[in-house]
Amino acid sequence: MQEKLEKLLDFLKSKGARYADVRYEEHVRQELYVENGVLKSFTHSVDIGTGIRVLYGNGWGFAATDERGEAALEKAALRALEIAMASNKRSNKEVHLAPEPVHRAAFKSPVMKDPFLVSDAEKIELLKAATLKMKENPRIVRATGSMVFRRIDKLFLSTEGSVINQEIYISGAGIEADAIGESGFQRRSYPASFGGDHATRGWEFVEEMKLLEHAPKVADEAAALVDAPEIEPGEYDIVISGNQLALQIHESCGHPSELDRVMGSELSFAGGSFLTLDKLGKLKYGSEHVSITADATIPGGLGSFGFDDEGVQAQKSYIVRNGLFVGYLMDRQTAAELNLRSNGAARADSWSHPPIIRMTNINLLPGSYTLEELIAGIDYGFLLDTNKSWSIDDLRLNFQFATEIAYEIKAGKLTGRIFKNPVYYDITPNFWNKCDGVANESYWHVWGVPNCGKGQPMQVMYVGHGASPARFRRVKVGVKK
Amino acid sequence: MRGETFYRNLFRLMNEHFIGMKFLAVVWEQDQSLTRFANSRIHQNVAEKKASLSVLVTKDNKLALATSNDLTVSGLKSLRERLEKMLEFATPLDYNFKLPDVSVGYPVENVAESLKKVFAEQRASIFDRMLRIAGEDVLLFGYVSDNVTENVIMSSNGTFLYQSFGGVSFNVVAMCDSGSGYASGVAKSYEELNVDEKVERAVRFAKMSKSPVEIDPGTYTVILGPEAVSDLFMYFAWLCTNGYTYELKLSPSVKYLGNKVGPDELNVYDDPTHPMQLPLMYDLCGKKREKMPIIENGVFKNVFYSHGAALRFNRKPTGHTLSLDDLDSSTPPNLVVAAGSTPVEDMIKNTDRGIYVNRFHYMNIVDPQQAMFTGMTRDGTFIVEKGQLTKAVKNMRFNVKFFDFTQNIEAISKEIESVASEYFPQVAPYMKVKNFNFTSKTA
Repeated sequence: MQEKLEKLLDFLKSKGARYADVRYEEHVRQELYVENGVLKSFTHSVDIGTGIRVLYGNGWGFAATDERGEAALEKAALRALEIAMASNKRSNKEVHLAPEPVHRAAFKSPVMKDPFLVSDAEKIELLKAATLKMKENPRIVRATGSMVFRRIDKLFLSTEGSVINQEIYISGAGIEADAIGESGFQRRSYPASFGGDHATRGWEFVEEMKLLEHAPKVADEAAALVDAPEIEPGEYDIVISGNQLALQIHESCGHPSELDRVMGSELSFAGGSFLTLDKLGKLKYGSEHVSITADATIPGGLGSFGFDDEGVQAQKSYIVRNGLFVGYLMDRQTAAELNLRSNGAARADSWSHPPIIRMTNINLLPGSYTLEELIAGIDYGFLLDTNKSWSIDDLRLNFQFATEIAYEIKAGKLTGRIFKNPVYYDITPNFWNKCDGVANESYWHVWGVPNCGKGQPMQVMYVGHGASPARFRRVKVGVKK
Repeated sequence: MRGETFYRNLFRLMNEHFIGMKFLAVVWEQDQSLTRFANSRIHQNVAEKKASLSVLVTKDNKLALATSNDLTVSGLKSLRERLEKMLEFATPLDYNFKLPDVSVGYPVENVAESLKKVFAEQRASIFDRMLRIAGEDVLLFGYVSDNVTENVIMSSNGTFLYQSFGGVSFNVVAMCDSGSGYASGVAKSYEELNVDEKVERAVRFAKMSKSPVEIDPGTYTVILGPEAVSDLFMYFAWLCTNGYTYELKLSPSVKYLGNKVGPDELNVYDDPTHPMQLPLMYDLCGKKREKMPIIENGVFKNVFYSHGAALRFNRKPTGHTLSLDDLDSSTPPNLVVAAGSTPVEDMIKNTDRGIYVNRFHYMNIVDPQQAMFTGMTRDGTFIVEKGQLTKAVKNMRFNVKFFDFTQNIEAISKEIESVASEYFPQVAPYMKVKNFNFTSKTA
């Protein structure tokens, strides 16, 4: 295949392309879904194709095809070129790419147990056992478990001479329990909601979740939530668990730090960003407890890789350092506009889409507290756990999150009382400046978010968020209904 | 487009290579192009051509599904081998599964001739037209897109259905200083796409939106544009019309189905026959799709049953199986909120004080039991005073229980528009609604 792709790049150069790159990708995916002990969905898919990106003058073009013959590839290359020429005609701005060394390299996710070599029977049995365990609680009407495994083989070549092979593995799993009672229905999930947790690791990642051991607690909490009270709306001190903070970081730090959003490329769909260029190095984004990195080098993080889809090597950089906003997520073109090097955030979800700026692993660095110490510092408040709903405005300022459960804290201790339908909301920098403590690294975990939507055509990317629980003062909880 | 003849041949090959297996197979083939612009210049310009074949097999009441984009004989052989292996490990369902009965139908071709060969230059020329309408002091952000899709449904029972459809769509945010306006549209061809009028509206709203004022959260009378209406009803349709969750009593429709939930002139349909829709005439199990009421004369009439949910709960399938990997869930893909009787001009003229909302942003479900939704306003929010849009308003967050919202509808416009929504295209009118609950404002 490499030879065919090299010929394509030579062909495009001969037609006047300033720059071109090509990605040949093979995606293999297996999914299993069990409900109440019954295997309801068992799927396997293979998706293979080539994406060709061309810069002609100052215009970009991209074309993708799932055909593999030389003639079909050449046709796609010509289509990409024709598109780039149409873009170039309307271009009133020079396009530059930040420099990147030529890489001839390979990368493979750190997999101890290849999930595609684990027997399907073992996977199905685990999900069956976990869901039946949850179903033992009489209030549980639907107990579900799911697993997803992916292998993505990528071959990247550019006219600059890079040749990069990558083999990315993804494993994910989770369980959920839906309970019904006189007062309605409620759900609890483990280890996170909307499909659980995911990583660029192997079957060992699923084994470490201990789904079966956690099943009874998930069911019991779902059942108890049905009759639980709601929190009286007001301002409270709160501790937010790691799996909820992951989404908080995602929406209120990850997305606004994407430089394409700042420069307007996403304005008509996902929106812009309040982190405008004038705020770089000046905005007090959060308190001194808040340091946030973009780090694609964390072994096993869902947003980890060897090279991004422009052939830029994976890196770690700061977005927020001790509360100060200091950096963006960039691709080569936007980095060049700031006279910087790309920090390797150009990613495509498939061979059929071009790379755009995406999160890698965006992480709130651990602090020095234990969870008990964070809770001990609260006179009356709540520990909020597991995302239920999210929404944020187009500049990423006004957010509102709902979680599955709130645990009451009184006089520095968890009381054992729980509340349903907790909702909290704030304005992003106000909120992060209310952070007065982050739990230490023993609580820190890179949570996988496999469903980040961005771009048109829509791309669904897998990203990671390192987080441990953190405490925030006087946050608005509950909305008037 | 490979065309019907190619797929009839594939069906023949399927029958040869899946002999002795009970199968349901679905092909999606898509050729889609999209030109994206920001700051009034094209920054992304893409085309993708791809096909996928999904084969669902059943044996001893077990299911397995495999998908590939290799439509050759060797691809079919690989799929069969994969599926046989999967069936070894699959376990039986807890209801009696059977493949859909044979479905017979003529090929459906809904691709405008002009869409069969579209060049990037043609999309770019639409963008040129938008720029001319906007003028020099307004920046444009958005996209123009076209696609041709072929969908084939085949089964070992003898079903062969071919449907093709094409569509074009666009959206645009116009920016003028700090002000912004938005519009979108969908049509079957570029000739039918109402670009000019909608871009003019987006530009007008952008110019009116400069220097927005803050207002306090609270309940207000609102006039919602079609974009905002379609968002609310899309979330309703997604959350409340799934027959599977209804039967499990995990849906808000348990409380509301069969009840009067809004005024007499509130009518909502899943309607593939509507002239402003891009029709899906068969679902993925080959069930012919027809116009079906969801809310009629203000009464919540129907939830929908996919093939799996219908078998499980002894109901009739309604033509809403849109996924082979989840045979229980259903979604209405051709949502139409019907026109009412009030001209939008009168709706505004007769409003003494209220808020006009052009568009919502980032809606989500806060509490599924109560069908409570949240979201922000965006790109054209104005105070209405004494029958006129007077001042622009800074963006606000709402939290609304859907069935309170429908009970508070005061008027529905005569005018309806096609809207390019995030998932399926929609058709929606303007609505005037009292007691709309804004709970916070943005910075």
